Amino acid sequence: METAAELLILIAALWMLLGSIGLIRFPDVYNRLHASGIVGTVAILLLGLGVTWLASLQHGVVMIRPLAAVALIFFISPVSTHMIAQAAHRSGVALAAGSVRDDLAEANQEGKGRAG
Amino acid sequence: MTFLDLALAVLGLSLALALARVILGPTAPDRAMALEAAGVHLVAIMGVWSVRARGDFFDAMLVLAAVSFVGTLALANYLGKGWPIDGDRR
Repeated sequence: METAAELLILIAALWMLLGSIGLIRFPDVYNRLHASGIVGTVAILLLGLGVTWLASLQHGVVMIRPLAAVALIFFISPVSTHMIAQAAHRSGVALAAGSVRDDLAEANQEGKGRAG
Repeated sequence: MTFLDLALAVLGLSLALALARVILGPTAPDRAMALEAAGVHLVAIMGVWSVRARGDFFDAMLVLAAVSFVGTLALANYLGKGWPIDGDRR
């Protein structure tokens, strides 16, 4: 059972490495936020499940606190991803060279400051 | 060399990549995003280390998760020139 939990933690760590490789290789802030979203949601939730399972096996009781910490990150990380994307768009960071369209800029043109 | 040691090595490499983006990042939102990802990596390393050492650092995980969100909120507030949650305010 402990080996299964350790394997779950290892898979989560590899998933987090995948997100970081995307953080290095993508060409743009808005593209890199996708990879950052992988780190903050899927990888940390998988790792938290593994850590909770393993700690519960080690201590003999059901551990709630690692699951609480990971659930906090899981619910907060999409919010901070949206906040950083909105801040980047407001501060005028340009899109990558191959980008096709910018819907938020068009909406700002039409609505004059309604949508952020 | 158990799975947990290997996971710690992979997490360290991943944290190094995120910090490389902090150093390289051409714009400030890049650095803010990479710092947030590095905070998530620190929480993950803390969790893996506490089960590897059969210790108990889970309170520190909780506190670091909350404080990391506050830091990202302040950075987005500064970079976007306004409160980042309310979309109508300019």
